[in-house]
Amino acid sequence: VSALVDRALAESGLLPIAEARRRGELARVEDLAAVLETADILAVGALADRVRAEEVGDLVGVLVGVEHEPGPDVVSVSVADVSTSGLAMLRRVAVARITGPRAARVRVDGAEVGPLMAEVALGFGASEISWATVEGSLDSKHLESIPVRLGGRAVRVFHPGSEEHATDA
Amino acid sequence: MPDSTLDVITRKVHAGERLSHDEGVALFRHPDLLAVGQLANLVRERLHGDRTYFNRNLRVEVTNVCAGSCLFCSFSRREDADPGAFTLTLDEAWRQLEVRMSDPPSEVHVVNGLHPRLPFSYYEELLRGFKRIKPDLHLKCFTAVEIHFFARQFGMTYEQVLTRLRDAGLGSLPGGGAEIFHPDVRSRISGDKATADEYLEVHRVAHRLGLFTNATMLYGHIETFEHRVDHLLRLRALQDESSSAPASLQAFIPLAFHPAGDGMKHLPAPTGVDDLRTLAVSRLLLDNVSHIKAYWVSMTPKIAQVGLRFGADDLDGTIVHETIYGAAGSTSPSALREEQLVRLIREAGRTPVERDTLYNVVRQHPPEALPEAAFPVRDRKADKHLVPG
Repeated sequence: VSALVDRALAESGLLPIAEARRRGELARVEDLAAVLETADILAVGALADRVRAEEVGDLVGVLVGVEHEPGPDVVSVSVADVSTSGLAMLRRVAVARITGPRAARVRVDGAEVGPLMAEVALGFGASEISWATVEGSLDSKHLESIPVRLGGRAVRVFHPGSEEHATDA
Repeated sequence: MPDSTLDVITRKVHAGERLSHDEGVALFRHPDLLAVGQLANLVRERLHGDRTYFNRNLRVEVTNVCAGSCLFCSFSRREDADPGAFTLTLDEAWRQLEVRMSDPPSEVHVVNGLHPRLPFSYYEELLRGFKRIKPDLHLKCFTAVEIHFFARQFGMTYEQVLTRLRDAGLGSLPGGGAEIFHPDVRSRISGDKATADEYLEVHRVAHRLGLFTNATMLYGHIETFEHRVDHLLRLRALQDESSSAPASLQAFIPLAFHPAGDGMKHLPAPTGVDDLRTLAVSRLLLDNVSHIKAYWVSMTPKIAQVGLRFGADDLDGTIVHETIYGAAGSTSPSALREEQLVRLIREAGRTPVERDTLYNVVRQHPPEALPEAAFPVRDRKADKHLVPG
């Protein structure tokens, strides 16, 4: 898989930014970030997913009805202004991961992007989905199958007051 | 899946070699969705470049009264008197086209329940009437399941049914009714309609008669990845057979299962990841089928757009006015304007091509002429700040 990703990154001109990110040179990443706006979306997504895997690991956080203070490690990705375009949403998530703080909790609003796109975003660098209310959120059957669909990632669900439900890959 | 398996698949895809059943299953199970997508995109671009197809079509369902009892269906009603049952008069059906004639579709797509009492002449006259309204209209009507039902109901062979319908104006067959071919699944979800062999035989006969067809697969319910691959490979084998016939399969359309309101509502719906992976694996396994559709009604316009990077080259059409998925709880709109389809395609970095039903190019949209003015704009200064129209 790595070879395939490496080839995709090379063909899309993403190797310099990938290397800068791996070395933790965030200023350099910012300098090179323009390429992320035009490079092949699957290559950008693959880079974001690699960064997510290396820095955050496989845990997927699902926050249902939980008010979380936006700490310095949380990057909430707003996509309301690109709501007609699924690909623009995913590119924004991936760019947030690649250019954001190291090991950031990159979060999408499930209600904003919709449940289908929210799960896809987890493969483009996101590590958390938030739902303002329980209504409309991913149901438990859906949550339990996320690790299978995402290739063995663990899902941890946070409800108000406590961590109520966790499923390990 | 070991990396070596993906390496083998990658090498075969680059060489244009056919993938096996086990390799198809491996692709469904592979943890790296984007790697699978990249392979599918390679094939998609090899076949079609950036071209992405759509058409201007009208969906007409003339009856939802159905002798079948498919577990997944929220559309059908058993009897005419059942709540929500409808059967259009011919005038009512034709009226649906007449009211669109100021901006006419190039295709009418008709799919129905298996009505136990309508005469065969109703269907023939339905087609003739559409043709009287618009003689150059393409009529893509009646799934293989309906054709099988007509044959049984009216004591005809498939060839006789198809010939009479063709004489009345039928242009091609849609792909619905395929569900999942494997008997372990088919017998449980739709045991009382055409079998897989009967579905495939209808298509085989249609191809011999020069009628192009589409094919579908209803995924994301009780089937396994092995069942999906079995389904795809049966279609691939049919297409191999039809390579010497005057017509063949034009497009494959994976259809996402929607559980709301039907006999399988306890199941979770397939997810966006599953939608994209199924498109991608379909593209990779169906090496002899030209087109893979991301059917936006089934998987939402956003996922369908993303699907244009996962192997799909077609978004279907404007649809107006689909009710089968609506009955199953789909939150997708029942129609998209042409400019909305064009925008979805352009935002995916593809070139929109309006086609007719048989994939003749009607109009290739220039890539630079984004019809932005057609959309309500919330903040033009930010260039991309659009809200759904």
